[in-house]
Amino acid sequence: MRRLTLYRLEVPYREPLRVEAFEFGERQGLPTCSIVGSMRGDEVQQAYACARIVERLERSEERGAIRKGVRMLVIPCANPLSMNVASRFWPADGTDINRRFPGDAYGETTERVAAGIFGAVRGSSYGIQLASFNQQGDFIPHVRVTRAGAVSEESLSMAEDFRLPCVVSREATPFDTGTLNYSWQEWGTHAFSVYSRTTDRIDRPSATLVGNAVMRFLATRGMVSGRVGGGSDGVRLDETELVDVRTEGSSGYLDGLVKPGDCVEKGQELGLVLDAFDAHVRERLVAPVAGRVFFCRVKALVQQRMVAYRIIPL
Amino acid sequence: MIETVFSAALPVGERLIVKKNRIEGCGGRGPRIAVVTGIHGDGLEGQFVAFELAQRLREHIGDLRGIVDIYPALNPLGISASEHGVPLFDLDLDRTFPGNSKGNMNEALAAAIVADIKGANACIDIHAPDAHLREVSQVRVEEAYAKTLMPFAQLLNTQLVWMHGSSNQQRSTLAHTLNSLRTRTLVVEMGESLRITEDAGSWLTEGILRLVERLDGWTSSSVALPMPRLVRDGDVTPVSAEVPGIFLPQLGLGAMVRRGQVVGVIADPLAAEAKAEVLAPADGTIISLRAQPLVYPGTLLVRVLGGV
Repeated sequence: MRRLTLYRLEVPYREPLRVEAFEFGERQGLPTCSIVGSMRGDEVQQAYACARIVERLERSEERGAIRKGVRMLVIPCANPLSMNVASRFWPADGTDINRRFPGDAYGETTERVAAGIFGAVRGSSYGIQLASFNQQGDFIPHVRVTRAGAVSEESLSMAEDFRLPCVVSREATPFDTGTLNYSWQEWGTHAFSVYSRTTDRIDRPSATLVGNAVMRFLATRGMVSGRVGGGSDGVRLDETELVDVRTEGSSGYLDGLVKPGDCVEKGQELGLVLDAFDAHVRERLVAPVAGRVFFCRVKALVQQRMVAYRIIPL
Repeated sequence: MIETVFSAALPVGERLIVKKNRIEGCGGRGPRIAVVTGIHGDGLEGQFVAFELAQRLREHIGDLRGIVDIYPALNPLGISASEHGVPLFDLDLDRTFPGNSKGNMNEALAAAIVADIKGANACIDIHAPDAHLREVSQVRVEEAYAKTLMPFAQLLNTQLVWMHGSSNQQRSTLAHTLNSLRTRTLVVEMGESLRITEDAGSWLTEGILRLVERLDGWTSSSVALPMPRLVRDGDVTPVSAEVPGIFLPQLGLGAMVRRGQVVGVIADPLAAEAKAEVLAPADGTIISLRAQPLVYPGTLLVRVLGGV
């Protein structure tokens, strides 16, 4: 294992931003696989899960389990500057590095950071990003493939090698064009977004689950030797098949009754919306279909017209 | 008449309400014009225009034919918190269009705004610049819609009309969405975030009245400035910081420069030294100037419009 500084940016009154990576296996050539943990300042779980992957790959390398000809780059935290001040986006201008890819070495600040990252991971055969959503809530751990390139369909079949509970496909939107995932695909990389359960707090079980999934993928695709057991036959679905449950006529405290992964019956109560002043039940959120809970909003306060739950229908 | 465009309950004893001021003329049937602003909570330049325009129209209501709808605060939570986006959501409202009436609150808000404005004869969407810049007044016109928008853009009394290329990200803006629905929408940028530039606002107010007049909706007076300069992307040269520090400009917005002339310096107050001089990249006029002194490598400092 070698520790590399991929990119360095001088900033006012702080130590420079350093994007650091761990390199495993070969030292030359394009990466066989690149793994990126957090890119935003609140992606603590993603950085943690990725750091645990670094730890496991270090042990794999020590016992000679990384296959000859394989080069892997792992970036646990691409944006320490934001993480150290708990700002999801770039603190000085509010921009999101994950909307700036492929980046521009002579462009605006976060375009430069994106270019510094992409210059190292461009052309990887496989790209794995431990991603997060802007929706505030917990998810069933899953892998996503965004249809954005010629390799997307093949990527979708490969995604099953993670053996995560869910494989979700989705169509790219204009908003996706600045993401790392999208740029990877433009360069022919099989790109996967792996979602853990949480974002701004550590959830050890799902971090381990994601770590196992990544190690399984690396083993199945022939990058590391050895067996990583477990996993499951994931449900494969398109994002449009998810059934949303919204707060329709009320707002207040959300009293959640289920968690991601729970099986629910049609008509089952998923959560209650309580009045903020007298705690009376203002709305009962019920499952419109039988299925498994994919997403739960976890913020204590909920507005009217907010998606509180998403269900994978049976 | 004040009307509600969108309403949703916030968690604790309050509603998010987006309102508009509908001003109906007494001069008979005529066009419907929408004037919107405050989509970014830190862009307050449009507040002055909304106020001035409503005053003018009320004073001369007999000279107005048709309707002028003024939406001063599309993002009321952002304005109340002086935040660019929607507080709580880390969300740029102007990247959520066309919205979704069955989506989350902000998507439903975006869909309600589009539904309310759609079909107007013209819409003017007033912004202050992003990125802590100070800018001369300008209409931004997406090239794809230039043919229908240019005749209107030239009426608004701005200093420039900037015709720019399209990008994927623009597809999720209010202006792009409305233009794609054949509601002619002009984006005006001017001044500075969290500030009001009264003279530019006054001229824009007159310009909006000129536009209403062109659509046979206004029979009273309006004042015209000389035609704005038409600008394309290639006419403008940006200069970015290459070192971090404190930007101290030595020239002001609108100043004429010669190529190589010092526009400002980037200072390091700790070491008490100028780390870099910022030089004009071309002969021309400064049309954008960094207003916030703190800069990183890559921070846009100056735009020079060549050939003036």
